[in-house]
Amino acid sequence: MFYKHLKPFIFILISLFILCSCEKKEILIGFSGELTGINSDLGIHGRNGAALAIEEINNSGGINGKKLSLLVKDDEGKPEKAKQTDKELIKEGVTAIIGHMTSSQTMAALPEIEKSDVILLSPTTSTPLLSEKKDKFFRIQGSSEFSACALGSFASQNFDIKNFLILKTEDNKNFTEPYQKNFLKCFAKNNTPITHKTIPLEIEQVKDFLINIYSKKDYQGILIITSARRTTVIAQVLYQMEKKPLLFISSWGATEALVRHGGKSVENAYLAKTGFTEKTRKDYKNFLEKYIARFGKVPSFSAEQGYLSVKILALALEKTKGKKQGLENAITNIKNYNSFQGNLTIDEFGDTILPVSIVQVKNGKLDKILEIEPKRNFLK
Amino acid sequence: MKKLSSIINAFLIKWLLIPAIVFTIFFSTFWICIEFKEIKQLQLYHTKNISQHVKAYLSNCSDNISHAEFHLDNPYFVAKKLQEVAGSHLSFNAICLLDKNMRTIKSVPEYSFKGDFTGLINQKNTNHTFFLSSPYYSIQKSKTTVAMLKKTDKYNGFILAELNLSGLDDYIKSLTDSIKKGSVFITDSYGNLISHSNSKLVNSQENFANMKIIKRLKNKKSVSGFFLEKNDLKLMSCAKINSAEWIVVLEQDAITIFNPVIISGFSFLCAVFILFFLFIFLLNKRLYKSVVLPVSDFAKKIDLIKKSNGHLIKISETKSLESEPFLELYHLNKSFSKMHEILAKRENALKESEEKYKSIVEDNPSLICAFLPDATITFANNAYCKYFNKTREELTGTNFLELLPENDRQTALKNLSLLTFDSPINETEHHVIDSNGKLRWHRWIDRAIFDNNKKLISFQSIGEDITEKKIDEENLAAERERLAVTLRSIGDGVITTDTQGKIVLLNKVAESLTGWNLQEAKGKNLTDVFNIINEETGVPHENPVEKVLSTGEIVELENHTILISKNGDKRVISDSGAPIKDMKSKTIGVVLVFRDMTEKKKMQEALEKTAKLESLGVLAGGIAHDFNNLLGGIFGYIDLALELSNEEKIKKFLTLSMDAMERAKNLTGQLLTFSKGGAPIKETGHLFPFIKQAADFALSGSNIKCNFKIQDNLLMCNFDKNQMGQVVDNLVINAKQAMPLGGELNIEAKNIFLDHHPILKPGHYIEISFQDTGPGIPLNIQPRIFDPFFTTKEKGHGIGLTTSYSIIEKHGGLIEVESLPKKGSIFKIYLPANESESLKTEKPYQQNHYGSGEILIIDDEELLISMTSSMLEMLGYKAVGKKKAEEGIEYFKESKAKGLNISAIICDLTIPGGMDGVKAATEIRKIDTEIPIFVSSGYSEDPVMTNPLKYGFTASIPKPFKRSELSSLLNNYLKL
Repeated sequence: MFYKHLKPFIFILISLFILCSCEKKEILIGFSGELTGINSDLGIHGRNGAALAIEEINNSGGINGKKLSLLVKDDEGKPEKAKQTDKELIKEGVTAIIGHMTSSQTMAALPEIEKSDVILLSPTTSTPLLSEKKDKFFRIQGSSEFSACALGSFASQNFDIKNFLILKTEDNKNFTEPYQKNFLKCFAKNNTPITHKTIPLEIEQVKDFLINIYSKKDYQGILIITSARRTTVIAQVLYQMEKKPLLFISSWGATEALVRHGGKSVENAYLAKTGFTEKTRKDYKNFLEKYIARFGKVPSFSAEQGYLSVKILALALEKTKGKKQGLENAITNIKNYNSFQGNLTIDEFGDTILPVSIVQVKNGKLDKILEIEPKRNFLK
Repeated sequence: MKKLSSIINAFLIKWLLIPAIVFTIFFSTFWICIEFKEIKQLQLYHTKNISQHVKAYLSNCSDNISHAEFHLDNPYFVAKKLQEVAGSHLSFNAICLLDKNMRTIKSVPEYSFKGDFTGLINQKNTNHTFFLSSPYYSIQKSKTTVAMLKKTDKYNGFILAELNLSGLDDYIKSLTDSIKKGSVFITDSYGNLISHSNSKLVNSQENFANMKIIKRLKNKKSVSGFFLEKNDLKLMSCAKINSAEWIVVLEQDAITIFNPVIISGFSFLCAVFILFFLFIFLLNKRLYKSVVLPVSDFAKKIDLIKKSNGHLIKISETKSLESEPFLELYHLNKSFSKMHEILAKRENALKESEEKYKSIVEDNPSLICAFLPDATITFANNAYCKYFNKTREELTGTNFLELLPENDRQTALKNLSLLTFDSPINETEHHVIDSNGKLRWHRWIDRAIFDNNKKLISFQSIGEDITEKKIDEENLAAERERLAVTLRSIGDGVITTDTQGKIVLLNKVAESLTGWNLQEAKGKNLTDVFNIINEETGVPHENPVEKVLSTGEIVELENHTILISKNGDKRVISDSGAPIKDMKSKTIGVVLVFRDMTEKKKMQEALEKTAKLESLGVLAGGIAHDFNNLLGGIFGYIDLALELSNEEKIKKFLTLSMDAMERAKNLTGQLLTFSKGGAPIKETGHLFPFIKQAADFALSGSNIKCNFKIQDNLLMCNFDKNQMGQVVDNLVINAKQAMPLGGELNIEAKNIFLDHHPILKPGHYIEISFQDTGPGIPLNIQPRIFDPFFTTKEKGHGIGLTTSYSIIEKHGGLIEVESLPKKGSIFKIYLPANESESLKTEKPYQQNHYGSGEILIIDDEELLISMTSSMLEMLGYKAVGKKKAEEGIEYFKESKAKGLNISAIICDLTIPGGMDGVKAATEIRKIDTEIPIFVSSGYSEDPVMTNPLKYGFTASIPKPFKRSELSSLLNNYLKL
């Protein structure tokens, strides 16, 4: 009888406990990219772009009433780490993973993705080795084979280059080697003698390395296939050496860091990019404004790609009502998405088809010289 | 209405427990809040201190940049000065000069500068003298850092220093390490991480703009509070460094920091709560136990009050407490009213009852009293007072033990002490001293009275005088004992049954005869125990019980009834059955009385045989006596003639005549043996080798093998050698004749003791058995073989076995025969053993007596007087013969009177037509007590002959006797 009067209190306590135990419903999106190290510019900006896009989506009510949440992992630019981070993300229940930012990491992690029920949507991976494959890999970056060939073709058609030097790093071979191959495929028509050199990873050695190369002969044209920061180091050394060859820079180095770090040393350099951002577009301006307000700095190319990736994924999630199931079809059904890089279409292999632009650095800015419509038979 | 217990519980919980809990929670919460506030303020104060420190650091950096700018007067020495500044200030990684578009003009070190800082500078800040870039990756240092810029008018550009944040990072790290589960970090106004103990977060340029505390900071200088970050509750404070628009954030895990406070508060809360709970619980228990339970119990119990007759009555009309809650007090009120009414009625009833019971007690003829445990009487009824002839006042206060004899007081007290709460009643009997001072037997029923605590408070007793009843009981018990002893002592078997024929009682004799004991037989059918059959036919007899019940009269069993005992023994019984009738002559059972007739029958048969032999013996004895007397004469004279004759021829004939006479003498001897006069002349001696010699002699020349089996230490016995020789002779010759073709005769002798024998007296006997291997005696003639003149032989006299029987009988023994056809015969002789008497030594050979004097012969037979006289004369005596006893006595008197000395008198025992030998001896003894008087008779077994001293004789001599025998007699008793 004494205890009868305590019943209401016990009931209230139990109810509170049950209410507190309820989980919040949200859609978990994974992000994995290189956030630390010399090549971290892609990763950091890509993450920031993705984060901004998620904040925008959440502010507009989320997907199917559920908020998106970004779970970020650093793959440290290492294939093994990329594999591990994806495993962790899958284990933590992400619906999809945005990443990786470089080809080698993507290719290393892809088998883990294939084993799971999540998709991998890369903002910047451009290796042609993943083209035309029915897998769980999707990207909004066009395959580098187009840009490489376009750049090679542009170089051979517009310049009479007697001695040509190709510099590339050992890391990210899944990008560098196909890029070099496709560049030469289109450039080799001139039968220009080409010298191949591997760039030392230690920055301090770059100067000696270049002096050594130039002690033997001068080169009229150089193709640099590495990250933007490394590219700028080479460009600055050459600038200090007062060597002014025609600089051709791979799409890996085509980020905001190239201009920030390169300064005058990268002036007049040529790049071939898939999806050249129209800075004057209203949506881009809106994005730019938001990004600066949010992070206090100007977004790079990878920030745009990260932002776009989340937008594309959100579009697909809208169709699947926030579920994993059906995401693959939903993404491949995205056609002519009006992005600030132009009309974006994802084909049945998950590859993005965007026009290729030949760009030149002019006064610290990227100026589009030429745009080539993408075609599957472009190289044939 | 609610139960009292519910009200108390509700009251305690509502007005004590809940307010106590609320107060405690409020107090604990209040205390915790105060503690929280203090900790929060302390943290904010700490954060502000850090921000001041960072501010000083940045100020130092800006001073250094100003100093560098001062030295950049000469553009030709810019590079050199930059080098000096960079080298002298460890707080800078690099220093460079930017143009107005923020593109690098000159830098130290020269190839690690950033080419373009426009993307990293918040354009709003460029109006300040000093401003900071967004964090960026320093290629030279391989880590994230920031740059501090100062607008310089000298070159229409900016002087930029890339900050070496290592010092700041170390400071932040050391602060973080000093905080338990917390961290300190610095961000710019966009939330971009600048310094953190985790360098990886800095290098990956984490952005904390979404952190709630940073959002809340906005236009404030500092903020502190609790924030939920990534599901972790944290206590955070942040302070803005205005000059740099940096934010210093200090975060700590709220649980960790407030754990001690919360634990203390919660412990206090719990302790107070438990104390209150316990207090209320105990109070509740106490109230429940002391108030609710008694009241509730009382309310329940009051419903039911037992009536005096044990039935329950319902007081309240309301339903039970269990089924419908109600207020106990209300219930009690109702119940008390009702109870008052009932009690009033009961009081009246009780008064009436008390009066009734008082009169019952007072008028009761039984003695009723009450007394205390110390035996002090507190109440006595009229009968009690009257019995002891005292008033109630006199008795009250006295000790009741005074009314008891001293011997019985302890008994009475002991009985009272046995009374317990569980067993309060006891019955006892003891003596009481009545008013006349006489001892009387009383029976008392004592009851102990206990209070509610089971403590003895008094006794009450009801008594009655049972003296008369006691005497009756004692008489009855004595009578019963007597009857039981009588029944046990009856020599006949007694069985009583009920009307169903079921056995009720067996006495000892009946148990012995039937082989059943009372326990076994009780309840069994009579026919199971009392199994009787006809001796001759073997047919079972009719159940005597049924016969008695059917006739209702006393019935006797048929003759020749055999009772078969449990172990198969058969006994001849005689039986009678009679109905047992109660006071109303109704038959309630049957009593059977039966007797073992087996021995009696045997004895009867033996007596019949003896009678038969006696009658024949009288006849044979009559003839033999006279014939023997005649033979005596002839025998004597031939003997004398043989003595005197010198003629050989005559001697030969006389010797032959003597042989023939000897046989005639034997024949008459045998006849006399079973006649009255054939008493044996017994002498104590060993039967063996006498019997062996006799048997061997009888079997000499035959083809019979005779085996002897004689027990060692065979006792002696008193026997007549002559007669015993006859018996052996008869039996051996019979055996010999039974085995004409030869065989074996086994003679066995042993000592036996007969205790119960139908004919023989109890005592030690010698059993001599003669077992032949002949054809045996047919069963039909076995009963007759001892009859006189019964013979199956052509030349037999039919007196051999008769004589043997008679001889053995006269020796105090018995002869029996066991024979089965074709299996031979066994004749068994039982002779009384003589254990005490020593063997008479064989008398040495004596010379013929030769004396002198006169010997008086009294005999009715002239021939014998003559023959005896002749023998006496040959022995030197003068013989005087008288044919009548009276004449002989007269002659003796005369001789005595004349002074003539008569040496001895030989007197015949039986003298027809006058005084016999015994009377004559009596008369002679009246005259002379010493003169030898010899009795002479052919009836050697006559008691006078066997014990002559008893009848006044000196000795006896059987007829016919030889001179040598006479000589021997005289040798023994007459002095030469």
